[in-house]
Amino acid sequence: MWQQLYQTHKDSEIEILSVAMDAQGPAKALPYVEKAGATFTTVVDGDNFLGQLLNARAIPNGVLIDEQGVVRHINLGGFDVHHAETKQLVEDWFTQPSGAVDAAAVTNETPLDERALKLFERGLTLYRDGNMSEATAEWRKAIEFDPKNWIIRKQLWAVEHPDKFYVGDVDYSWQREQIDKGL
Amino acid sequence: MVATEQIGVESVMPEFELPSITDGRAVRLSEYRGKKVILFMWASW
Repeated sequence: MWQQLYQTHKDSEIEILSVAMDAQGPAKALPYVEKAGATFTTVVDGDNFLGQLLNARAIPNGVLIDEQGVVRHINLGGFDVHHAETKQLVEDWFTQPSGAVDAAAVTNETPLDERALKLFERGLTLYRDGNMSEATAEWRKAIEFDPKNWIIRKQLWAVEHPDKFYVGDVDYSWQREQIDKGL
Repeated sequence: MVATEQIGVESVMPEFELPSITDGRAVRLSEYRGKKVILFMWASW
């Protein structure tokens, strides 16, 4: 869907910058990019830099940035281009002057828990050094401080249960079971 | 990279540099200046 929108509008002065929030690095997200045949750029934000900047606890997120680098719209958690509303917003953004877009921003006013972010960071260092079980232990502590930080929680799940994420489609019913069990 | 501020609508989006998923090239937001940009955040999980 993104590729289709990009293809339609790429001759205008527009760009899509896709950001994979994958702490595991490019390998896990790259198949999605290849499958989509995406010709716009995708980068990897394994440190959750943009999550912290935008105060985001979940994905998918969209930020519309105008020609001068000013943020014109933010949608945290609901920026799904398969939804008619988001698709329309993208079309409008690509075809109308940047000042014309007046969709209501969806932001998060509850600050992220600093302790959780520190623990997530510490876990990242351990993960990259190959200390998997110590890394996941730090991330689990992080979730205790910020239970609704799905960026941390789902990253933990993906590392601990790769079969639920990388064998066929992502298993959302398994995720719901974990939530129901309070995990 | 550690975020030191939080941004909202009407903020100037801070410069950042992240590696391309295909070849690791450092991509900067400022490369897109002068264009209307959609920053789209997703993940494999």
